[in-house]
Amino acid sequence: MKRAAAIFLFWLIGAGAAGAQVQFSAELDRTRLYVGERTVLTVRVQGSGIDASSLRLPDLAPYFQVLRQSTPQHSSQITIVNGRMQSSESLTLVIQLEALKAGRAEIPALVIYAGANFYQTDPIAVEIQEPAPAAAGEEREGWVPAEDPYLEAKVDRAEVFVGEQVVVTWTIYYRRDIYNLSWGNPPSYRGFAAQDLDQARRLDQKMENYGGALYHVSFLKSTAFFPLQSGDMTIPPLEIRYESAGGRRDFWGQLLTEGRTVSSRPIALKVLPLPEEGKPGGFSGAVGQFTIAGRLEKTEVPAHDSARLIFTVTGDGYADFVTEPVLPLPATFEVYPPEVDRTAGNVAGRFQTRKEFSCLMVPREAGSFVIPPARFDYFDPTSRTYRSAESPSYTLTVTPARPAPAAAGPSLRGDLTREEVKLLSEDIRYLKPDRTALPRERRLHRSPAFLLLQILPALLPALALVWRIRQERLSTDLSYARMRRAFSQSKKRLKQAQRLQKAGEATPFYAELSRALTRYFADRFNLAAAGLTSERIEEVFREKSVEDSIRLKFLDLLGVCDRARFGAAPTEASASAQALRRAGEVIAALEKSRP
Amino acid sequence: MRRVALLLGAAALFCAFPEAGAESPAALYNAGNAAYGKGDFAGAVEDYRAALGQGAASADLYYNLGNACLKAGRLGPAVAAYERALRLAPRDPDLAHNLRFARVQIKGKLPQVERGFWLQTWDQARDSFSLNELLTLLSAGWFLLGLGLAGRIFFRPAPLRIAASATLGAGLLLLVLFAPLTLAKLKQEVWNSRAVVQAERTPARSGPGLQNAELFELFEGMEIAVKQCESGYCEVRVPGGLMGWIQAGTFEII
Repeated sequence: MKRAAAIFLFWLIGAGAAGAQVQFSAELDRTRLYVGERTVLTVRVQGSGIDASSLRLPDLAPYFQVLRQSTPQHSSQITIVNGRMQSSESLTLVIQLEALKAGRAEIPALVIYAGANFYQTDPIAVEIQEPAPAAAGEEREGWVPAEDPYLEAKVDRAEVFVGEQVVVTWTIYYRRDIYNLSWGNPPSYRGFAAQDLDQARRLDQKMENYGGALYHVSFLKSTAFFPLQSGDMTIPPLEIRYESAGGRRDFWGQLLTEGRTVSSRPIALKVLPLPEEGKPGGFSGAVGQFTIAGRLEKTEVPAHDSARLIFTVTGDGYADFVTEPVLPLPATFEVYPPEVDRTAGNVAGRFQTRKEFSCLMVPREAGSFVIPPARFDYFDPTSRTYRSAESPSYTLTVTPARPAPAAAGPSLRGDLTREEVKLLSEDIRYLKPDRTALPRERRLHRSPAFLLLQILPALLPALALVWRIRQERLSTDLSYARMRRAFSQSKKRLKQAQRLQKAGEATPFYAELSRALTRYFADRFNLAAAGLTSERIEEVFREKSVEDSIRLKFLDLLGVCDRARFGAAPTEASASAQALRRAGEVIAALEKSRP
Repeated sequence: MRRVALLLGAAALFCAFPEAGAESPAALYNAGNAAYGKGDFAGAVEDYRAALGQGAASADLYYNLGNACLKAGRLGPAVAAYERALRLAPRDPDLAHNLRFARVQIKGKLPQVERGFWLQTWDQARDSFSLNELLTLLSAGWFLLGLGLAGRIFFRPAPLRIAASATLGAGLLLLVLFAPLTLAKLKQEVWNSRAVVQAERTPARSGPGLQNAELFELFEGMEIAVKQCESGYCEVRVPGGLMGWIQAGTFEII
């Protein structure tokens, strides 16, 4: 009893010692705020003997006002460590604050009592700034996001020509906390060619003031559109999925989030047709601002050798409308279709196309030739006129030819390797000679005979295995071996008896017949042949449940043999032949019966 | 009796010369060669095609057809014929030369994927055998394996068991060497629908139908693999890995 009391006292001391370890903290989720912005103060205390009612919020005026305060989340825990009981409780309090005034504010220390002691948190310094002005632009005067969150689609021009680039930028404005943003259903841009320019990897932390309220403002995406037809057209809305706190709470009192979507408004565009007046012949449809640059790889080549001329067209039009520049070359030049290399990307917020045309030309005559400027026609939407970009002109000196290759075939590409160009100077090899017969096509994978034949290699080992197992049993299981050989041995003996019968030797015939029957019987049932009497045979027949008809025939035949051997039965040829036939039948019947 | 004998004789004659009344494939093939020699390439193409129509199919016939098509200015059918000949005679140097020559005539080029040394070696090994040759070698390996295994089970004397083991080993070796090549060949020639573009040029689009964007352009003689067909268009893959939809009827399956 004394010992139990001592242990209880020890536990109490231990618990009291544990209660002395109180942890008390206060955290603000951000220490730099704008006026009007909200922040969350989380107060946590853990230990024993905590007096929750002693926790008081200090006066936060004039910098903050308390918007909401959660009910304290309380939990307690008892643990036994190394035989010592430790009890502890924890308390969590969440307070939502709104910044009211710019300046350097401080959230003072919070105080709580635990037992006879009191504990306090560190003060938290906060910097509160005046809100940023609204985005520039006349149309922004007095503008307020229509909803929270709000997805805005801004277009850089409302009236464009067919094929002209128009850039749409999507921005999200929000006050409430939103999480897990993702793209909604992808829109179908019918009547437009679209190229994505930029896309936000995470939300910006920019804040702007609209109508006296602070909004988070974040760029989401920008896309370049090229209208492919004229008329009133619409760029469909973009949809965003997000999660935000709903009204419901979970079992632990935490606010649950709900999945929602927000869409931008559709954008109306007026698309003008390209003017027919002044349209160059073979105009490709390129609209925008374009430049062309050129480069001649070699300025001197022998006749029949190749020279490469490279043009680069750069501009903000739709890439598919940028086609090969017009290049009027001397008639003595053979020109191959150009190899085209295309790159595109975002340059200063607009889609920029760069197409390189690498033209292979083969001068066939010697001389000095001026390659005139290559011309690329486009429509300039700023001046509303058709313009041409021109490369510089070049001079190519063609020296007399090396030994001329044979005339090449009709051609070709501009990216031929040296080996391929050599091949062009050759010809195909001649025909295969006449034949007296032509075979029919034989496809093994479709030939049933070939496929069936493939079964054989699988069967061979299986057959060998069966044979091997049988051989093993024959050599180890004597009764099995005798039984398996009984029938073949009896046939040999019956043949011997037949020979005696044909020779007219009645007594030896019946003796051999009797031996054939008894030996077969002995082998069949694994018995010793010597001393096998009719009574024993009958007994065995009954033990093995052999059919009565077989048993009777067998015993009758043995009796016939015995009687004939000792002169008590007819021994004419017909009787012996009948006995031989009956012996064969009864042995066959017994073989089939498998008792 | 005499009439029966006459009828039997006529039937025997018909069986002995089944193409009596029509030119034999060999005669058509030789006629094609003669027309080619005279510069009548279109006529040669007709003769060779008639020989094919009678069920003949040899590498020489496809080779000569390819030559005649090429001389007649029909690049697509020429490449298709050479490709078919290559399936039957993969190591024919004349055929390799003419096919290379035909490929150089193709008027456009798509981006090519650079194959590493080992992949090139693998391709060469696969292309050095016809499918029938590979199947025969694989079958021989399979038979040796079966025989060796059966011998190992069947025979007890040591020399015979050693011989059976050697047979088994040879069979395994053939299987290990040629099974992957045969699978690759089957994939190339049987499971993949390979085709040759026959139209002079045809755009490959992002989907079946004219409303879809043009991705790239295919030219006559280019080799493609046909994946699926839908609404008069077929999805094709070119050796560089590009995929697109082209109009059905602009290519010929080989």
